[in-house]
Parts: sequence; structure tokens; C-alpha cells
Amino acid sequence: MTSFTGITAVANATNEMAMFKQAMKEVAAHPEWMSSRQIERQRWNPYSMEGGSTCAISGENFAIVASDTRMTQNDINILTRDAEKIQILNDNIILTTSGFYGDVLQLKKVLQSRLHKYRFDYRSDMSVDLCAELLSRNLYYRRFFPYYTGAILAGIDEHGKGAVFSYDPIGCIERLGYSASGAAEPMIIPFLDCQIGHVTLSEGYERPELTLDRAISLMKDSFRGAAEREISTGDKIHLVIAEAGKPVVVKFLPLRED
Amino acid sequence: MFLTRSEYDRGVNTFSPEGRLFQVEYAIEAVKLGSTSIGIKTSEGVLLAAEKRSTSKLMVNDAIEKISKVDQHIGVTFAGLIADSRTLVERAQIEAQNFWFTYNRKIRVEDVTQSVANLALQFGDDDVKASMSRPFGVAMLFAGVDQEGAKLFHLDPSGTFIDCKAKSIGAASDGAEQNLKEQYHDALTIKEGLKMALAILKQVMEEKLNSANVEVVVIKPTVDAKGRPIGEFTRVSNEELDQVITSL
Amino acid sequence: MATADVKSTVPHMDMDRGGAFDFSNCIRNQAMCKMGGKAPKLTSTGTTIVAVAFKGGLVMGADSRATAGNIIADKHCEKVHKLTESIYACGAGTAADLDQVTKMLSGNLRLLELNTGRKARVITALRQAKQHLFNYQGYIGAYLLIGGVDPTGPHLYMCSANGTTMAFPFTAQGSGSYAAITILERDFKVDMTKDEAEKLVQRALEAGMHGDNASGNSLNLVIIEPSETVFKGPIVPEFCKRPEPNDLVYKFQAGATKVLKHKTYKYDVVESMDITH
Repeated sequence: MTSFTGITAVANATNEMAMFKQAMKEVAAHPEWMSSRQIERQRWNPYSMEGGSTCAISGENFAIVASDTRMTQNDINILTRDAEKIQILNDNIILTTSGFYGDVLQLKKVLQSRLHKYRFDYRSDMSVDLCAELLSRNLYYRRFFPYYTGAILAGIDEHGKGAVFSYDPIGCIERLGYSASGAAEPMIIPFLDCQIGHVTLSEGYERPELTLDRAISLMKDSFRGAAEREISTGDKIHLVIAEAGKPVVVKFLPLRED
Repeated sequence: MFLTRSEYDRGVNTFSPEGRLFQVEYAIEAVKLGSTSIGIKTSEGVLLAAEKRSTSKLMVNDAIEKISKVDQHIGVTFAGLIADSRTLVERAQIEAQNFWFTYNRKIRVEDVTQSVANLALQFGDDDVKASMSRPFGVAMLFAGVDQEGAKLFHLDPSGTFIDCKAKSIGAASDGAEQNLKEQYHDALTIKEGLKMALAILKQVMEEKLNSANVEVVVIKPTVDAKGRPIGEFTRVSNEELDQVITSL
Repeated sequence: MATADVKSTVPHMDMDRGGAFDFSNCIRNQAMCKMGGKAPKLTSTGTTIVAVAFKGGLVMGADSRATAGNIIADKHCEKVHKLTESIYACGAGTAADLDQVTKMLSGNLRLLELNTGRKARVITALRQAKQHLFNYQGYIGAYLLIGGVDPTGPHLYMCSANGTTMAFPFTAQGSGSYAAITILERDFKVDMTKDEAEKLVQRALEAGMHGDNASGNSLNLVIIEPSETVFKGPIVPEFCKRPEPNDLVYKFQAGATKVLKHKTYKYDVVESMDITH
């Protein structure tokens, strides 16, 4: 017998009433206010995700970094349209981070202070290669209470070449040509794989050189595309351009706001 | 100097009215009691040579280590209170490992010297902060090859460190240094440097020079797995030393 | 079993039944869960829908974004559903449920109109919706604003997926309702003109679309009056337009895609047929 409550396997109504009474007694004595799954769901959670996307592309003598400026609560509610997710650590090192904004800020502070101390200890600016390793160590230090971030470190390396380093939250480091992190990562990466990595292009077809102008255009188009279809990405593109031997350039470009 | 001895040489960090820290100056004097060491920077790397003074024939000569390895690319030799040097060498080794661990890169010779220099001055007579109650009675020669090339640094008990082309520390340092000044030139090869170092030691040592009472380390430039310039620390074997010594 | 018997056999529940809230069913629900019953699940409603009554009529509106998680599945979906000539429903919740429920309602109401020879009333549409939804205990995820004009005047109702209904002079639903309701609360007045009401609905929708990630793209309005029903849309607010076009043109030459694997199938012609004529 199946009632609308979905309760089955009860022989007759009297029996059902008896069982129900018994169940009421048990529950009244030891009320399970929350099921184990509910407890798991409602347990104090130190992390939150503020949405948004970041991306970095490196070329022969440049590295460009971009993020959107929207910050979101619970995937739905917009907290601010002017969030800073890119930190220019020095002329050669740019950090961009998605994920839990509290950890993003802490990570930025940690690296800033380490860079500052490095200048005193070793009398020179840290290079992006060293900073990349340092960041990896710092992320792994928190192996069992990680910074909940998808970090990308970009800049100009010791040989004057563009560099992009990508991380997971616990410090797995990888040097790549381009990388993306955040809510629209699954949309941006395939686009860049196609346009920069040429992974689907067969032999004998034109592979346009990755100039700074092309990289900037691809970057803008990545975010324009992401804003079209990803709900937590939008408002503005924060674009940072590092070119070997030139000062870092910062630009803001409009994105749709809905 | 000893004539001006007064109550100002009691406190390790008390200046005399003439502006001197006697305990530090005495520590520098302690260095001159140590056996002689020489460091020479050449066009093909850098080398350290040190006299091993054995006070008794009952002593196992190999047990004395006058040149320590700090890292793959850095060596250090010292003169003065050998026990004090252990603390400083350990600091250098830790600092080198720490840098490598944090940045996945070999530390520069200058930076390792700097960190040891910082420790050299951390003495004092309070119980809490200071790790050492008196100045360290050792001078050190840091030699190595890093991304900037061959480097030789001299560090004294006052914590002062100086970038050198060639330098000598220890009992016969004055004589040795006079010789170095006369013979040194920028185009030296490792082979010439080795010969020069041993010749000078032979001249200034009280005992007769042989492969048992001298220790030599050479650090030659090489490249790491990623193609970056770095040094390789090698001890010169007794056979090689004998060859050079007989040719002197 | 007599009522008195049931009362004496059911154990006393240690819960306060006085005051504004009654939590006594918590124990009963837990007992039911213990016997194998399932507690209902909540569904999120990523949408902004707004409706406002004015003097003699009603304005209803909705955005046009449909989301699947954090991905926009449809930029121009229709959330303003026509039930009859003068009764409309705006929906938030599960898209398929909304399509089916509104289709069923419009069918039933049309049949009713044909059978009676009169225009259907809004309350009838509401009744049918709530009875249907209550039957399914909230598992049909349709959250509706049902409104229109009938011979008894303009009416606006909200109907929740579990069958709860309420009447309103103005209201908003969906994840963008928080932003939208702020505009309504501030600017709503009784007996507004049609123009005022239309502007108000549009502004409330734009607030929802601007402040809520799950709402946006464009908005649709329907203005229902006893004499006529006007549908407006899609209207694209300024902030929903792409501020800049793409820099590059992404066109692929024919054959440019890498061929990963070739396989040729051989087949025999067993029978053929001429289909040219």
C-alpha cells in the first residue's frame, strides 16, 4: 500500500496507526532536528564563492591579465560592480585570483609583504619565476585548510619573456601559455585553446602570430563571450598589460551589466 | 690596543669612550690564532685552500674539516674558534636550503653571507633575545658560483663582509695577503690559482706542506637542469694535491 | 477510532502552540520521515516577474533569461503566458513545468469559455492552478503570477508551487523580486494611470535584471484592460546591450578542423529505388 506520503509496506490501517504512534513517541523523545545531510549542509562553512572570472595570456615579450569586476553572493546577488581581482605586485609580477574573496585578499597581502621583505633581504625586486615558486609554497603551507582560490600569476620573466603560471588551491604549479580561472573558465579555456593553442586546427592552415594586439583582442572577446552566457561574469573588464621594458598599463572596458 | 684595557671590555656591547667595542676587537684577534685559509677568485671559478694544523700525531687528520659545503654551489672556510664556526656554517646551510625550498632557486653567495653576517652581530649579555653571549671568534671566506658568476666574500666577527678577488684569513694572513697582492691577476686559471694558493701556504706554514695538512675546494661554473649558471663544489683529491705540491 | 481515542493515544508534543508560530507539525513530519516518507525539496527561481494593478487594468511583465546553474540557457525565453484573451500568467521556477501548467490552464479556460459562452474569470484560472499544483505537493515547480481583467474587474494573484495563493495590488516573484519589490514599494500608488503603471513595471523589472545575476537580457510586458490587451516586447534596456562588439571575426576555413580518425565503411547495394519523380 502506498499513501501520498510515500509510506509503504504497512499491512493495515490499525497497524499503520500503531507504527505511527511508536514513531511519534521516539521522535518526541529524541527529536532529530536535522538529518545528517542537513547537518552537513548547515555546518559552519568558512568559505564562500564570489564568482567572476580571470584570465591571463603570455606572448614573446608580454603578458596580459584580465578579470571582470563583478562580485557575487550565492551566485545570484551582486555585491559590487567594481571588485579588484587583479593585483599588480611589481613591474614584472601580476597576480589575479578567483574564488573566495577573503582568501584572495589574504593571499595578496601575503605576497605583497614577502615581496617587500625580499627587497630588503636580497636588494632587488623579485622576479616572476621566484614569486611563482613562492606562491606555490605558500599555497601548500595551507594543505589542510587551503586558500580557496584559483590563482594565476603572470608577468615578464628574467629573460624578458611573457610568463603565466597557473595554480590549484593547494599549490600545484604549471607554467602555461595562457590560463583562465573562475566561473567562466570552462568557456574561456576552449576558446583560447582554439585561437591560441590551435588544438583543433589541422596542418597547413594559417596560424596567426600571437602579437600583443591580437592577445588583447582575444582577451576582450573572451570576456565579452563569457558575459553573454555566464551569469556571474559582467560589468567591466579589468585589463592589465605588462610588456618587457615598459611600465604596466591598466585599462577598464565596459561589459554588459545584466 | 691591549694597553688601553679598561672596564669597557667587560660588557660585550659597551662602547669605550674612544668609540671601540673591545670584545669585538678581541674576537678579531682570535681569528689570528687560527690556521691560515686562502680564497682566490679566478676566471674559471673560485677556490678555497686551508691549512689543517694537527696538534698531535695521535689525531686523525681526516677528522678536521676546514672547508665546509654550504650548498651545491657554495663552500666556506674559516679561521679562529672552530666551534663557533659550526653555528655560523649551520646558519648558512639552513639559509641556503630555505631559499631553495621557498623559491626553487639556489641562493646567491652574497645573500648567504649577509644572513650569516646578521647572526654574527646577534650577541649580547641579556638572556632572552641574544642567541650568543659574546661575538663569534671566527672569520669566514664564502666562495661560490651563482647566476652572477664566481664570488668570494670575507666576513669578520664584526659582521662586516666584503666582496674580494682574493683573500686570506688566519695566523699567517698578513704574509699570505702580501703574496696574493703581488701575484694576483684577473686572467688566472683554476690551475694557476691552485698552484698560487699552495705555493703561498707552503711559504707561510710552519709545518712542511703536504697533501695531509692542506684542504682545497674548487667551485667551477656549470649549468643547472634549466640551463641557469650555477657552481659545482668539488674537493681536490690528495693525489692531485700531491702532484701540485711536488711541482712547487 | 473515535476522535477522543486518537487524542488520547497520540503522545503529547512538547511544543509551544501559542503565539504566532506553530511548530507542532515538526514532530509529525519527523515521524513521517522515520516511516519512509520524503520531505519536499525547494527549488530556486531564477527570474524576475512583476505585476501591478492600475485603475481599471493590470500590467504584468517578465525578463527573458533562463538559466541552468550559472549558465544562461536561453536569452529570449517567454515567461509571460497567455491564458485567455484577458488573463495572463507570469512564471518563475522550472521552465518545463511552467510551460505545461500554463498550456493546461489556457486549454481548460478556453473550454470553459466555449461551454459557458462567457469570458473566464481570473479566480477560475487561479483555482485550477492551485488545485493542480497542490495535488503534486510542490513537485511541479511552478511559481505563478496570475492576473487579468474579467467582468468583476482587474485581479492579481500569486500562486506558489505548493498551492498557496494570495491576492495583491502589486507584487514581484523570482530571484530578482528583492530588487524589483524595492521599486514597487517606493513608487506604487493606488489608481495609477496605465502609463504610470507600465513605467513602474518596467522600472521594477529593470531593477531586478540589473541587480540579479539570474535575470536579464530583455523584458516583455502585457497591459490588460477591459477593452483591449496589448503585448509589448521584447524591450532591451540600455544596460542589457553589449557595450562593445567583438574585436575579431571568428570564421573558420572549410577543412581547417583537424581530422583525428578516418574510417571507411563498405556496403553492398541490396535493393535500390528511384525517388527522383
